[in-house]
Amino acid sequence: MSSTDAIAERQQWMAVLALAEVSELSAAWEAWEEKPQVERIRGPESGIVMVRGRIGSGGDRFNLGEATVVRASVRLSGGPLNEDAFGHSYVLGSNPDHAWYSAVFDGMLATTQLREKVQQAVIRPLQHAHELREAAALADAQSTKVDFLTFAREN
Amino acid sequence: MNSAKIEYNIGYIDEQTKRMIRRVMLKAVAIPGFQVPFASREVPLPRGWGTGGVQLTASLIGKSDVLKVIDQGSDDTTNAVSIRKFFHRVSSVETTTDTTQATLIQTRHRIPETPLQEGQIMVYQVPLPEPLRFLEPRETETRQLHALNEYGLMYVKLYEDIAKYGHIAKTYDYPVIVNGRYLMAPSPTPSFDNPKLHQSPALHLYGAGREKRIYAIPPYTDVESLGFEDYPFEPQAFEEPCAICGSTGVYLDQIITDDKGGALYVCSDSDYCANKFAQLSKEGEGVSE
Amino acid sequence: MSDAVFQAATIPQPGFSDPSSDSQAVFRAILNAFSYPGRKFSITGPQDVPAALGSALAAVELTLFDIDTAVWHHPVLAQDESAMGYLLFHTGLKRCTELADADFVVATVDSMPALNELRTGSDLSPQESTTLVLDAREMTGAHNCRATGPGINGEIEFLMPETYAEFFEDWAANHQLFPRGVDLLIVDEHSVMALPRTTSLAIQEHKREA
Repeated sequence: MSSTDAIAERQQWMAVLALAEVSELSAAWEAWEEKPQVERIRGPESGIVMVRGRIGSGGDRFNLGEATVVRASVRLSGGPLNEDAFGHSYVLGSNPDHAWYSAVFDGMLATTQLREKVQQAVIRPLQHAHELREAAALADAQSTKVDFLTFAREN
Repeated sequence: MNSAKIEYNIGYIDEQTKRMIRRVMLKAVAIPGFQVPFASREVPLPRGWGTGGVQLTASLIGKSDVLKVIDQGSDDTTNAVSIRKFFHRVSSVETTTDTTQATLIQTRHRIPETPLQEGQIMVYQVPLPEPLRFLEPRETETRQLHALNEYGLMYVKLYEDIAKYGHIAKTYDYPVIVNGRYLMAPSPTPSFDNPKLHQSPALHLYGAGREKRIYAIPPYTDVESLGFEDYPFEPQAFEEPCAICGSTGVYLDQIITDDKGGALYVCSDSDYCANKFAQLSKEGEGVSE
Repeated sequence: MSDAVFQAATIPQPGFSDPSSDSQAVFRAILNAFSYPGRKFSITGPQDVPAALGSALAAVELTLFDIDTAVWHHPVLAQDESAMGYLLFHTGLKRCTELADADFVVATVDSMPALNELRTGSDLSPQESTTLVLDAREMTGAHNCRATGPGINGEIEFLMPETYAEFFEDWAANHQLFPRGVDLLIVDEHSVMALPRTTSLAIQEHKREA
């Protein structure tokens, strides 16, 4: 796998961890059988990032606004690991536990040893749960849609 | 996204801002009297209410500090109380009204009467850091004047006061020369307080939030109030003693007592007055035996 | 799939255990050092740090440096992957190869650049000068010095680590440049001491009694 693909894969699992509920993450950690040791390297600490957008979704970049982000970096060692792993997280909001669990799982996912296992047991279920929540929200919104016979619409 | 309680960082402002202000403070101490520009941040006070002082205190304060806040010498005016409560809330630091117990003293427009010790830090709230501002409104020009050590403008102003009134008319924010080089505005403290700055054992830090400048007088530094050989600097003097504690040689506030112009003169430094009064009461008790 | 794509070359040690409080305490010591030149003020840094840095110097760098500071490190330190990785991760400092670009210069007694190679600021902006941070852990000799100037009550005697031959001449020239000039922060195993540009130094002829 090329490094661009590898990065894309990491972005994908980091997104799933960031969008999950903290309760789901802590449950997944509780349920994880062979836990590595976790050492705090940085954080959890909160800060601000400048969120940027593009004009018309494709044009010049502009500063949209500041958003609170919480981040953590951890070292994982021992347990099931052959080598130490370095896990990171950046999560929108200010929940330190969310950053913590996300960094721990990111560390495990970064190792060849545990990647598939964590994907199966943690990432896919979290992703599925997120999709269900999104679908429910969408259905909720759709139910409020009103069809005016005098108003032609594309969708 | 999950929400959690936001906890204030110690001192309210973020660590990156504190580092920026801290680096500026070190430069200010290395260049006594020189106004160092800084990126003044938003704090929960409006500009003009002490944001410079608050940013300095916020960048200095830590758990082993004891904070005193005064406004015109008093610990119990609205602003002093608000700022003290603010720092207690965002840093859980011990606060005090006792000058001798304080490690950090934030002040608006007065220096305490009780002599300061080594290790204490005075933080001044400064409205206008530029001593030449009323004489030369352009920042570009005043910066050049400081760079060139060209302070004739200020001496002319003092001379004109003498020509017009027979004496120098400035009684507060009286300009000083620091370490024989920079002309500095000591903030609107009464000229009575100027001698306290000369060779002081404590560090004096000045913060102007709206004007975005920080400057300093290190400990044990020469601070000379401007004057002329034939019209030297004269700090204010009071004829009456304090009506409460009887002290002389301290700065007094005038309190109007009736509509006929009756007035009381009491210590501006509320902590000093309370201590003196308590001392006198004790001695009084002994004597009456 | 290779782990190398994901793993940092070395995982840095943690920084301060309580960054806000710990850096505040170190800063107050540094501020005291600048306020009272010639006196040592003790600092506590994290215990687990790259050996090339040592606890005290690590504490100073973690406290003062960030994305807004351009820092020149002496070659031995600059080439130490563990030390640089640690500093870049925890501070985000801008690495600097040219002395003229540096806001801060970190050097040992052997690698200290001459003072006149460093930026001294301008008359309009004397604060745009370089601050020299001297790692004095491996000093080979020292001079008894007498210092005077702002922050010093009369005069003070202290031991100045020996650096390069012309240092005292250069320091005198630096002092003459006021308000421009370079400021010096000396860091040893457990403490900091500072010589701001306002301090005058004279080498003592006679050994001070212990």
